[in-house]
Amino acid sequence: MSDRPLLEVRDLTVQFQLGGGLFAPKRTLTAVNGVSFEVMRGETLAIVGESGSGKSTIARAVMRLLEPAAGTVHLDGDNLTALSGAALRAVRPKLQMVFQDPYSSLDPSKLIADIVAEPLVVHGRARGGDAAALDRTVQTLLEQVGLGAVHMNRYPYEFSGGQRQRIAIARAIALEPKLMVLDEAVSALDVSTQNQILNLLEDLRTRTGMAYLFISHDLGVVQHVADRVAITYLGRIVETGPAARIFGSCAHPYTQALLSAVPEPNPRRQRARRHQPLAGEIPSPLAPPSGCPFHARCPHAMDVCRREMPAHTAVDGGGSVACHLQTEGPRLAGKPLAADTPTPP
Amino acid sequence: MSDVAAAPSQSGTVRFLRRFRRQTLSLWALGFLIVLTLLAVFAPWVAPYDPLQQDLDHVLEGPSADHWFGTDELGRDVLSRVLFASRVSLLAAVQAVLIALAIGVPPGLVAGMWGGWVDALIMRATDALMSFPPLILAVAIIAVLGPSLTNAMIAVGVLLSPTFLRLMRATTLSVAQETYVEAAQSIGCTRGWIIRKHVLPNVVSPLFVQISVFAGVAMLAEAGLSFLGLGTQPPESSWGAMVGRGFRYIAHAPSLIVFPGLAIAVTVLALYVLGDGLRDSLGRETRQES
Repeated sequence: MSDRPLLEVRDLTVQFQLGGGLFAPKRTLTAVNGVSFEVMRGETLAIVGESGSGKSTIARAVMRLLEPAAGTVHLDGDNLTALSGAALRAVRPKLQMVFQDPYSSLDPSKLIADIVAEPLVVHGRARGGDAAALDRTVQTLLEQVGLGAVHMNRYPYEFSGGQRQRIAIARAIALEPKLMVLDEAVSALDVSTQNQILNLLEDLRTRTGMAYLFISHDLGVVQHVADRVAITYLGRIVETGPAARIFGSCAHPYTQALLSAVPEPNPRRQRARRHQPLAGEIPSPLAPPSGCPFHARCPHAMDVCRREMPAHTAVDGGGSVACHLQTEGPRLAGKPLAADTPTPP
Repeated sequence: MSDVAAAPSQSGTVRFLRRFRRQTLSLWALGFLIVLTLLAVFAPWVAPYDPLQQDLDHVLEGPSADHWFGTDELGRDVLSRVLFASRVSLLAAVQAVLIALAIGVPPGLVAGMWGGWVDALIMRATDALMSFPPLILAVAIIAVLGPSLTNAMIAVGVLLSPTFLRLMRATTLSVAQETYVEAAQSIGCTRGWIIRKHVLPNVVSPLFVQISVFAGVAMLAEAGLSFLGLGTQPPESSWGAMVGRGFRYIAHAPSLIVFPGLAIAVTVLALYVLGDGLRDSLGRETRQES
């Protein structure tokens, strides 16, 4: 195994043009703003954020389903952002995606066998049109996700959400990808099904050594699967680090607020916990606030937060955080906030 | 993972047939159209008389045992003429719909898939076409190409094509937003593959409904144009042309226009009813209720 990351994303920026009709002025929405991260081989990186934080846009830009406005995405030595057409299709087997909604990610007019076989057929891996061999491959794939040959000649509408997500996973692993992008892959499922799918994903990872880019809004789920975590807010990564450090002693007030929203199974501990609900909504990316994007909702906001964008600084225990509290303010640099009572700024 | 119902798996076609079978009225309409098509195909064997054979001793007669639908101004048997005219009328409707499909469907798909300026260009061209008064445009096309049934049907096809185009664009737009199209893209399918394998199979259902209804519209348009003398030319005859010529004897022999007129009305009604039935049975089914 080499030390170079499998996926290397540098200064990724994705913008959408809004309006631009005859009379409406064109407006630019920056959904992802200068995001950098990497995923090592066999590792699970979770990207976490609330709705509108740009996490799904990051997934789509990495998959080149969206054209990034700036930045580069390197996968296993290939610069995906420089590829297009046939050259891009040729590297697609290395990265596959599972989508959030299993009800719309499977073509309702196709049999399960055809859906799972499609990646193999499209990439000419159907072994010279040998239908029986392809059928066997599809069956093996379905067995790997806990389904079987009996499900091959059925249509998607005959399956439950969890089963559909298994089919989507079977399709994604058909090409033996090195990286799987899971965009809220378990969010649409109920909790018991979520656990089954998460176990399946963990199982597949140990067997194949794939890396996961796990997009989620649910820190409770992320805690179980992630090796490293990146927290996004308004199109930027505000904190990254090993999962143990993030869940043990996070450094960014936003991460702290997210963590305090994860329910605690033990009721006594849940009651003892100081819950910090976040005030207000995530700001509109059309009119981003000045300085730190989080300052309007931050319980520790200072003057400097309204003026200057904080830079990423390294944190003890690994990772980095973009917060002025690390360098100035009432707390000393790097001191964990969790133990303190918030003082008015 | 054994909680899948033991019900046998049904393909889309089987499901459609199961639902269509419950539409009694549509089944009648379909039966009527099948009988009509058979009668048209086998007209030379079914018709009691030669449709061109004149009998000047019996002109403009009403219905009788010898001539069920009466005779026309030259003593020709109206029943035989209606049967032979059905070939022309049905063929004309099919022709017009095929032309409309050929002109309307591909650009509709392209506009829906590509979007942007391609879409804008195609839609503005369609708007321009639709802003012409239809009858004037038909007459203008026939004036340029010369009066004949084929030319009249080209005109009707051109006039009907914008609706097919808009229908295709609208359904393609909604299908193109579906995650499974994005998924196909992420797998590495080419745009052509996505259109053929994922978009087309999911947009044809509403098209069938429109085809059925437009076959009726085309038949009415053919009747109108032939009535005006711009469509079918003698000695060939369509139902519309028969009404057009029988119109002169409306006071003496109303049966001359009643029977071809009824044929038009019932056939168009059958096509509309069939369209309704198709729409009700082709509707998207997400999950079986049973």
